[in-house]
Amino acid sequence: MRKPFNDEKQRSSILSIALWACAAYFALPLVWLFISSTKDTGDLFATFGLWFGSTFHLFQNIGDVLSYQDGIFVRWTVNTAFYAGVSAVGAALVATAAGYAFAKYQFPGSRAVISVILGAIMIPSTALAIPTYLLFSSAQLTNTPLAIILPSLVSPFGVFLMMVYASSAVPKELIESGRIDGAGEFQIFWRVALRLLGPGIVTVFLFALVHTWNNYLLPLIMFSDGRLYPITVGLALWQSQGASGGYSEDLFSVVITGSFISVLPLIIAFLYLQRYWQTGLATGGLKG
Amino acid sequence: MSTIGLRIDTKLGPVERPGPTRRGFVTAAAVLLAGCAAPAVTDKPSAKPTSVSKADFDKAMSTPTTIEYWSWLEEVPQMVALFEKKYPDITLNLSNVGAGTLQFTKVRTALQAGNAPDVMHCDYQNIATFARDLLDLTAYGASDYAADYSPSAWGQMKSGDRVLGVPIDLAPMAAMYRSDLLAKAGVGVPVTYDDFATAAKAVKDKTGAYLATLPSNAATYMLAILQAAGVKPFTYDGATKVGIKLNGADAKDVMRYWNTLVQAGLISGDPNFTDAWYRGFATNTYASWFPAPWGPYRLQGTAANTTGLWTLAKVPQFKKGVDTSSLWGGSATSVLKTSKHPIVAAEWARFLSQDPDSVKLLMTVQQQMPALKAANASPAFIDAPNPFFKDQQQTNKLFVEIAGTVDPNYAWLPFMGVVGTTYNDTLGKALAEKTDLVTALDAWQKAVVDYATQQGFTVS
Amino acid sequence: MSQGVALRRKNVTRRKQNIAAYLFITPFVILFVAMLLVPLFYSGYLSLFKTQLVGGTVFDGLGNYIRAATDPLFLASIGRVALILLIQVPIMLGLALFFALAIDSGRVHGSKFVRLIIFVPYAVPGVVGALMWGYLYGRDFGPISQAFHAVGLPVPDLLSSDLILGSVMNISTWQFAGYNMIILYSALRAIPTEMYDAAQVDGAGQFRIAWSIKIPTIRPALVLTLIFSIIGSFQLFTEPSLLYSIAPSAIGQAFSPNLYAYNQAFVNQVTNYAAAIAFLLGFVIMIVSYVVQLPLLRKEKVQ
Repeated sequence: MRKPFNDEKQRSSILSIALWACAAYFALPLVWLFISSTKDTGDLFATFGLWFGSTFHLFQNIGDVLSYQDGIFVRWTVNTAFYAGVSAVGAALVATAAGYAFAKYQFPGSRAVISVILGAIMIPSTALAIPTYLLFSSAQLTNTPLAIILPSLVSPFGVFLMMVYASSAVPKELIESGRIDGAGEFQIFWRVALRLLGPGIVTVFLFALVHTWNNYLLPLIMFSDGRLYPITVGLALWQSQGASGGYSEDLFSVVITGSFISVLPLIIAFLYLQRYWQTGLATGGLKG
Repeated sequence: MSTIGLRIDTKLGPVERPGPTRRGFVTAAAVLLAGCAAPAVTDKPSAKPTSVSKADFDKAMSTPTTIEYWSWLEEVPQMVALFEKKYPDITLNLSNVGAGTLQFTKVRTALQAGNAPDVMHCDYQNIATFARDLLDLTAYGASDYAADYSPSAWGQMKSGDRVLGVPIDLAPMAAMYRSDLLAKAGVGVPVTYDDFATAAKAVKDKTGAYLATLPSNAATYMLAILQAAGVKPFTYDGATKVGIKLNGADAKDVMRYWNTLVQAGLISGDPNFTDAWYRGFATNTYASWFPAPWGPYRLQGTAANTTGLWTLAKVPQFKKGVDTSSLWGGSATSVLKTSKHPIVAAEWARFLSQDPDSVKLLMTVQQQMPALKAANASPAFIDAPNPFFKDQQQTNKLFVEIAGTVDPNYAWLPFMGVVGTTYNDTLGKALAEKTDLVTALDAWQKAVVDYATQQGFTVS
Repeated sequence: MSQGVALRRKNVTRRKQNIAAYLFITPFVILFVAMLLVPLFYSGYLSLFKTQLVGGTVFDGLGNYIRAATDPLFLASIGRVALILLIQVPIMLGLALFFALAIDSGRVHGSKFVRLIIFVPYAVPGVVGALMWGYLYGRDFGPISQAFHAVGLPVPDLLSSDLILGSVMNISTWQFAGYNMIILYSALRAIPTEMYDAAQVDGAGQFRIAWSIKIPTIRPALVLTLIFSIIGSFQLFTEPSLLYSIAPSAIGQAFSPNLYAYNQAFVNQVTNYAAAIAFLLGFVIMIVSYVVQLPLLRKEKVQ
């Protein structure tokens, strides 16, 4: 990546203030979420939303969330991590292989297949939800993790991203020299290309991770066993119970703190893997 | 974790095959038509039994069986434990798939796909919606205990001659007022709706609180208020004929009354059971509510600061000397026809609302009113103190009295979900935006009739 | 003779490579067909039938489609998302571009941190996002209303029918501006330095450089974000469905086509009609996307 070309010292205060003001807007709901997680139910309903209450109740709240209904939240978190992790790894691998092939090989039908795949990005989710459910239940796969994982392995955008990325990240010459050395196509892919495709793979991985982690409609219709829910459906379930006529009054506090806990893992994942996915997107031929 | 794991039903009944099949809809149509005329459709088609033989019962309850049960009630896990303790060979797989509409939507989809639960929690209004899919419990001993339940509860279980559920709780609608705010406004507890209108104005002027709330998202609340005024808008013959009269002269009179109050700014149309709505009670925005026995419990946490300030009374009446009310909610346990273990399932339905320990949980955990006559007439219920109405004695007795004034014959349509959403879009919207309620009532009527016609019903 | 041998060897090599290519794409294609195409065609098949509570299922041909094309609720929902498209997408992409350019210019203090904060909403699940904004919008207790109240201005009911469109647009912008910003920023970072050297020598200012060099150079990325935003706007579902419980009259059952399809399928139990709606929606998305990208995108060769 190129370094900034202007003088490092020449920072603009006006621009910075403008951007920081905007950043405050983006952070506002999350700040509210954090602050509300530190309140107990009484304070939640009685005090001003954007400032702390009379007590710092965060750790008790976290304890409540983790123990509510026999600790089902922990189970939901594990489920979410499992579905998202497996789907993201699978999606990334599958998309990488396909993207690499579209980028580096000219084979009959490649144009047609790519068009169909890209067109698939436009399919509305509800068009697929019920038929997928009906098909899965005839195959006895609803209420199993596969009901979430299998559909999540398909990432047309991931294929597109990898295709674009591979076309510039893996030079043709490298492949050719590999062939001259007598290596098989798969060996070249495995030994040479994958290394170079690293940032792109991480990018696809991350976006697939977010997509599955935050998926709501699919697990909502696929699962009826609460022990299989991911966090999204679990939180919505608690929210609906709190709304539809009470339950324990602590439910609101539990939903809010649970929501807070649920956003942390992805934020951390993005922070940690920042330099990879930025490279992935940058070199991904998104220039002219 | 238990060994139950993920039991997927492998039965292939007539309507479970995905997608439309000739066999599927022909069978469905046949079941529909058979449903209204003939009595119990059981596993023993030749006989017309009214209970299960002791031998069969004992055999069923001592064979290791697992049944799937969907419910969202808070106290149900403890009741399940009681049941499994009594019948150690039976495992009850409880799933909470969401409250209210969320669950019923899932049941509907599960029926289509062939993996519906054996038993489900079903509120009174949805019994008709699932009438084709629920098992007639007459063959499983329902007639034995019919008389044990309050008539208004039992009446709601019937579809023609069929008994489609065992009532759990009874939910007669009462009125609760903030005695302190009424006092500040200088009015007493309203007895007639004329009193109510006067009181509403006084309370709004002197305290700023709304005496009445007509939530923009609560069709059943509106229907209960209409029923308390004598309006019965629906008929259903159990098969293909429905009667829909939401905008009859009587209903319109009621709407005109409320419209005056709405246009005068005395009614809050906020949606109910939302975060903001709960706070409304804590912050003196709402001075009254028309709850059923399951209601006050909801407010005890979020509106804890108003404990002891409430008075329970009967709902206002339109005519002096008349004393009627209605049911708002109330639920039952229903067995699905597709269940492979009807005897066990029916016994669970019975146990939940009749076993003394189970009934005790019902009364104490969520403070509901049992539909079982012996229970709701017992001192345990009648004398139970309710901190919300701290200075009032025997508030539960008032609920029992009110239950006695409810007409047990009230029919629902077999598509109450749609009645609810159309309400939100028409009358509910009018309440939120303070437009004319009578016009909106007509719009609601039209929307429901349109749906019914579209679905092939004969509408009258 | 040697030419023929060479040709044959080339063909053999070609075939070997083609086979490898097919093998590479096979896992994806199998999953694609099974998880996307099969349900899609099944959905299309379902849309040709009509199921009634009374009467069961009958073949209806294009009946559902005709009904949808004349259904005021459906048409209103398409109109609504189109309106959102015309207002929200330019605003959001404008903001994303502004942020990307600002951060790329290196003139912002703590740009790394700002970048992360703006991006974070993308990682928040829709359920949580709707929960947070639902609270913030609250007429009685939301901080926004309280702020208006404190200043003495009339409190806007952000969940009322009049303002709900703006409120929903705000949530979408909040959630995706950062995502688009990152895509555009990455594209900007990939611009080689040489392109600026000439401009700098000429003494061009930051804004001039941004306008004349940066923006045109990242045009493909802009088109990409535009197309995805269009698709995303038309597919609006999560925000209205989760705001429905607190603002049922403002949202209604047909706020967006996807929500309408969902309610038709799950609440009204008219799955077949829902399938037809979803298909029509897909059709509309295809047309709009194609029309939009036609004048904007030069054909890119992927080699």
